[in-house]
Amino acid sequence: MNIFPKWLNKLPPIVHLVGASVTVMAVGIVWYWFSPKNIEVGYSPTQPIDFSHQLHAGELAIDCRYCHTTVEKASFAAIPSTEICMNCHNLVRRASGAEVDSPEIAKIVDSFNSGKPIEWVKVHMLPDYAYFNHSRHITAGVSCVECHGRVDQMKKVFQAEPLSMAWCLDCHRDPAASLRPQESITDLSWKAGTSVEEKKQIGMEIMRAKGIAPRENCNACHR
Amino acid sequence: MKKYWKSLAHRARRKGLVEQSKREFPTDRFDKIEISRRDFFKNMGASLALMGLSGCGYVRKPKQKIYPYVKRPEFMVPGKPTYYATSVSIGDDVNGVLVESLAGRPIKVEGNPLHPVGQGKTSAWQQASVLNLYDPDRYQRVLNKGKESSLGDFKRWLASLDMGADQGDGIGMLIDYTPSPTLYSQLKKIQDRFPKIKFYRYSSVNNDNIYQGVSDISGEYAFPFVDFTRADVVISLDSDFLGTDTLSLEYNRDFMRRRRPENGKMNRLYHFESSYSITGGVADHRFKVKRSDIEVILYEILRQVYQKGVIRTDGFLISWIEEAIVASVSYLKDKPAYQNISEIVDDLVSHSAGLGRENGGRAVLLAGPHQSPLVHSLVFYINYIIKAPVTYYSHPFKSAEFPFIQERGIDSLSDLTRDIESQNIKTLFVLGGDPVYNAPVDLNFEGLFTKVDTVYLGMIPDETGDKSSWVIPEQHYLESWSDLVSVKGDLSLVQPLINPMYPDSLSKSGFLSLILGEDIGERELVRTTHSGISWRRSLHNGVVKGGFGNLQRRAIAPYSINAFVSRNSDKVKRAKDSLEVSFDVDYSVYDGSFINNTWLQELPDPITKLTWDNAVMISHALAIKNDLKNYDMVEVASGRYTLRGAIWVVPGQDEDTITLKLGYGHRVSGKIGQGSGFNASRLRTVSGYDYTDKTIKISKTGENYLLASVQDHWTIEDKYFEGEESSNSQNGRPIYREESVDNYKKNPRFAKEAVEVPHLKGYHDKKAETFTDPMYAENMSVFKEVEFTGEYQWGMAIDLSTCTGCNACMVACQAENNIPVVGKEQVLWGREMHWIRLDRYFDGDTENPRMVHQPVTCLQCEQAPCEQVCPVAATVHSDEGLNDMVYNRCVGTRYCSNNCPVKVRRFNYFDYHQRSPHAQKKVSSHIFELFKEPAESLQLQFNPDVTVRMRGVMEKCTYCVQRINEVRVVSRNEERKIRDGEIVTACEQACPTGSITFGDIKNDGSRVTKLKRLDRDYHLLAELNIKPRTSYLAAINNPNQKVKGS
Repeated sequence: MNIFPKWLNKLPPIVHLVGASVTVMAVGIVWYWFSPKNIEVGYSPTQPIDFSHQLHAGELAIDCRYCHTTVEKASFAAIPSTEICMNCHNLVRRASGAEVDSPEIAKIVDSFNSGKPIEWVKVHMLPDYAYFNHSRHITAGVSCVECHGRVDQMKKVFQAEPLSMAWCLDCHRDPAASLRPQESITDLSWKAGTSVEEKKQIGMEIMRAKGIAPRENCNACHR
Repeated sequence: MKKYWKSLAHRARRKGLVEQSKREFPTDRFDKIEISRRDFFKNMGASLALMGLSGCGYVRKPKQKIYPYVKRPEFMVPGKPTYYATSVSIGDDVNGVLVESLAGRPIKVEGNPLHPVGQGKTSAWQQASVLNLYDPDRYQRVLNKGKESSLGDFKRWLASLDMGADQGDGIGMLIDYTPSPTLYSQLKKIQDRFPKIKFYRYSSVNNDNIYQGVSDISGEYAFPFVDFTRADVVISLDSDFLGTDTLSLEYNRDFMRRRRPENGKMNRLYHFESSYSITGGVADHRFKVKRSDIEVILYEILRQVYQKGVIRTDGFLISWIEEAIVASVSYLKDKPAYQNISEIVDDLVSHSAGLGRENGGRAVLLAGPHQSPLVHSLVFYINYIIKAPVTYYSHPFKSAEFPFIQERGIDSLSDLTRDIESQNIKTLFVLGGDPVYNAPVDLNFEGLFTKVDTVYLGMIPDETGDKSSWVIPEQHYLESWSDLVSVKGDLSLVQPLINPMYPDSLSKSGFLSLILGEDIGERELVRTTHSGISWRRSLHNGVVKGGFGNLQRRAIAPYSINAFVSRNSDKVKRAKDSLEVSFDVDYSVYDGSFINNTWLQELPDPITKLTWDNAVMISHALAIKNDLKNYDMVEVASGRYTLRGAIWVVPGQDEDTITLKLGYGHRVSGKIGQGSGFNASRLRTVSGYDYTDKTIKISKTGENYLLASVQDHWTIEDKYFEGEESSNSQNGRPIYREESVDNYKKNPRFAKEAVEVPHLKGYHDKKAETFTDPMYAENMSVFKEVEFTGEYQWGMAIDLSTCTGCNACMVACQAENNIPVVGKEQVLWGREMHWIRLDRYFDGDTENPRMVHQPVTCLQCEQAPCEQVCPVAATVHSDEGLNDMVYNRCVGTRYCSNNCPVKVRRFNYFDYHQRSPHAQKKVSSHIFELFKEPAESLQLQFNPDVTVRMRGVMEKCTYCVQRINEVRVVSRNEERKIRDGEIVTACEQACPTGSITFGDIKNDGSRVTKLKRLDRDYHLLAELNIKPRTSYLAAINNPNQKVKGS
């Protein structure tokens, strides 16, 4: 007596085949879509204040270093203190043409008066065991835009690059294309001529002049 | 031939230890677990499944917030540390420190180069003091009869006391001595306001005997300071001047300047003591003798100084001395300590100055604080007649206003107990010091203490706080304003680096202000005390120019010695053949004030290598006589007082001495201090304060108590176990190399020639052709030679000639590198995590061995054996010669540790930060939130520049790569090279003797290159072709050939 129909004999190979392809697909999916390129890039949390870099850094063309004051001196670029916002916003209280004071700017004033810090949400997160130093990169001629993208065009800041170790190493192994003269370091729209070759040429010259040799040892970034 | 051994078991080649040293992982038991194949696969399967689960961690990291300043303080750069000068006092000892502050959190104590005492160096205690600030067990609230109360309640109680009504009658104030001028100006004010108030003073570790002795013979209440730079011959009578004594940092620096043969003539140290101290380890000749007998040794020295004609013989004095000696000589005559006095005095006399020259002598005597005032008087006298390089400094607060300062603390405390008994004192203010715990037992202080109303200003829960009616939390020195004076009169300021962690806490000055009813800030108080100084500069430098007046007393002369002798004739000591207990300051917990400090608790004692406990320390001879062995619980009885403790047999201990370290055995303490060790105060009496004067009985209780000693851990495998004899030193494997200065001059290359494999003699010449066996030729390694292309090549030199084994480097390393503390149970398993290990070797028989120390940390081998076995490349080389440890790659096979010839790799078996008794449940919301994390306050201490490692990861010394990288960034930004000495590793920074030097070996002019070029530089285990970057300078000592049996 046959309990199972005959076609069931094909079941084991089918199960194996399907199993194998599902595994391959799963690995492939995780490999590609779970990489920092896909899950990190584009991360754009909502901030407590609807602050627009596009307005401040783009339209008003305020230099990055006006707010991120320690970027040339320390490992952290430093989120500006409320006091720095108030340098302008003790006068500027409403958007141009608006009838009433901006509620967003009121939050800054609140923080200043109450002494409570503004709770910004971190966008660019490196793991604690990776030690990145802003000052070393800026002084070497790596512009902000290389890692942070065109912040001057972002209404709401998002992560533009994967910030993965492989991505870091790409540049450490071949830094020429990411270097520029010191005077244009915060000029996010800076272009070196027309071609990649030209940009590389400038980078090579900077490398020679400053003796730049990015370290690839583990202890360069991990301690 | 020298035969070094680490423990008695090692010396006896005990079988278990032999086996242990041969095991793959000496302390693991995994290979002894019997497990079937089936179970093995079951476990593996479960582990794999769990691994899959942990993959679920690949979710977006939790949201993190950034809190910028509202108004950023000037000079505050996020991520950049700022350093503030302040000062710290431990007992009478004061040192200036620079404290590293990150985002407002003080995280690391370093020495202040401008302070005259430390000149940039620190002791282990000072290094560890920062942890006390963050101790979660600290008193946080005002307590009234054990219940939480508030400062307001206390103020109301104080007002109800109405001290002014009867001028402070019935009120006493017991002070743990703190050398702060502001404090004393306040005490003066209190005395003026309430003339009937009574002051008392008590510190269980003090210099009272020294001051008293000098005062008895000269009338000057002064402290002797020895200028070791000018001393060729030093005789130390029970003085641990390189370890626990006051001014030890200055002494370490000066003394060690004369221990490097390159610096010219070496000094010579004769040392008498009852139980090994680190000074004894450094000594050229160390004699063991009972503490009470040292007085007799001194009589004999004095007699011979007379006989050898330094000064006219005085019949009266000689007859007095002889009376004392004759009575003792039958007991002492067989002891090397007594037999060699003639040779020692010869040496002393030949280095003393002739009559008429002031301080021209180049020999000096000094005695330890545990010797009686009479000893100090006589030492003063001998130093006077031989014109020793000693300067005397008056006590900073000896003015007639405070008679209690000039009274010995023990007498002052006795006065207090009498006053309480006679009900003259009804209310007692106690300013620190924990007297209920450490008062001599025969005063019955605890019983009397509860009879009066008591207010206690204390930091960590202790017995005194437990028995007090009121407890006021005391501020840590990093939270308060104050000022300090060293015994030499150097004045330094104490400034806070952080707001008080607990708002109800008060500093000593703040507490006195409260009593005075003054509402003046401590900062203002300190400023008014020193109105004449340049405030900003003094704060910046940490030291005040000009100091605290001139305390130095030039040429103070003794009274007539005959008059002195006849006054003291009844105090003559006679040596006798009986057991004696002596009490010593502990190298870890000091007088007990560091009992709740995890770093210090786990710090191995330099001599016994014990962690987490003290012990009843006895000699091997006494152990055999009484059939005692390690871990036996015994009862020690002195008169009617008894103490129960565990036995530890210490080589080199005097056979008639039982040594107890102070500070342990607290009945009440924090989570760390509770239940560790045995309270030595239970045998301490007023008359037997430094050593007992009653008959001692020692009896077994039949119980056992496990003590965690690390002396046999991480042993570099040697051939001692094989019983192999070899012509070169160290058991066939020359790990520690030393020689006398005479032999060193004859053969400067002895250290390089003392290699295990004879044909490696040319190794240090770095020329391949000198190798007779191509196997060992430089370029014939079986492994690929690594090329070092980096701009700098880091290296280190450790001078064994000057290393005392004081442990300061170990604590500095722990503080800098976030090294976890594992706890006593894990230490017993051999899992302590210290990156630096101080190997302590004995050489000689069990009764009278010599003791040497060798700090061993990762040698940063160029041909690193660890790298060759790592399956995941978690340990690899940098182009600058660092052996990098990549925590994130490590999967915990521990092959590297197994293959490490010097055993310096440490495996984090559990997440020890989570397992600490101070851990708390994790606060942050994350899928792993079921786990614990260190207490919130302790997290503030972590150094953010160093990764906090998880469990299952190997770790080891990195040459402080975070410091290298910080300096590198600065130098690259400034487009210049790193200067020699710009990078200072944490251990180098702390080392009081400057034994550790770090630098670029590619730079011909660097300090480290110069040291490595010395003849006595050698590589550890050179025969393995590991090419270590850390090399050692062989120890050179300066023994007197005529002295025998030491």
